Amino acid sequence: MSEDKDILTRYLEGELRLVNKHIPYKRRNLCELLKEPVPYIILRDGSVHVFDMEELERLKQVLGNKACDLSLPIIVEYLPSDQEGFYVVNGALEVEAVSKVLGCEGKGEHLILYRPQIIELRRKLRTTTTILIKPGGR
Amino acid sequence: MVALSQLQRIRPTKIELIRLRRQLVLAVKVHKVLRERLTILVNEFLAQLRESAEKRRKINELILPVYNRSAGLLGVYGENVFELFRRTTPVLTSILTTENIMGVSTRSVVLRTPGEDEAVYAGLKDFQTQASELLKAIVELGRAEEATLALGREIKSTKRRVNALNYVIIPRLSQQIRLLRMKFDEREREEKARMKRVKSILEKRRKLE
Repeated sequence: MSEDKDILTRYLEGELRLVNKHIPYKRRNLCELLKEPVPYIILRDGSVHVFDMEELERLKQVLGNKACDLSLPIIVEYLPSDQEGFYVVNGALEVEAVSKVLGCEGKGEHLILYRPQIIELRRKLRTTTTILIKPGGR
Repeated sequence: MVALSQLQRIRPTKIELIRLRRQLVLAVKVHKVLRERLTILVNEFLAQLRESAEKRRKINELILPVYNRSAGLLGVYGENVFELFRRTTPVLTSILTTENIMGVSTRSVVLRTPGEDEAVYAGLKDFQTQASELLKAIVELGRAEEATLALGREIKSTKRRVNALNYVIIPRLSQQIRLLRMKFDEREREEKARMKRVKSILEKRRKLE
């Protein structure tokens, strides 16, 4: 009985661990990526994720002089403890880039996005954004 | 409903109840996370599907003009036109890569456009532009369709896990917790009744003395 329970707990904890396997260990600078012939990053599950050159160029164009300070991919956080379908972008530069791409107003360190905006963002920046699920909340 | 054999297997202790409650909290959290992941995956799947339909339409629009132009060039330059084309123009290079969409790894291709071609042949430049556009659309279609298939497989497995949590694990844990609580309440009532009985016996004995 007790062994069964342990298996269940282990399975549930494993699910929570695996849900963020697509997040990179280390984010990379936009300018650094633009210099490479094939811009890529290594993810937590060991796989290689390649950025679309057109998206990188677009971000550079959108941010202008500040483009070199941007780290990619842009992480969009989902907090299950908060409202459903509620996402947050953290970081001033990330907020500026996302708000300019989406054409919405965004200032400060945080930008709150809802599901339709996320769909739009993922359509426009498919390879340069990623969704992080934070089971523990803020 | 929980089977009798399962109920018999639960140890009616407070520790067991605490453990079950912890597991229920964890299961609810995992369910919430997986459900949101499923929503994101479905959105990605629909986006990829839309993109592949768009690319297919583009290919259908491009393929006939490219074919007509190649037939025209074949007429102008003779049978060796493709050989000439191959020798005189730089070719597109492709790099096979992978792309990760919400933990789903899909294959992708990066196309490198060649540098400017110095040689000028009547009609060849336009043909080259159109043909490379067509090739890019075909590669993009392949990538989108591959991603659609991979996302479809992931959606299927995630849905099974969400359903297992929603219809099996969470109800079973809730039922076990409810039964343990009922058992503890029953024990408490028994204890009270026993105490009352003891009290009345003691009172009776005291009266007799």
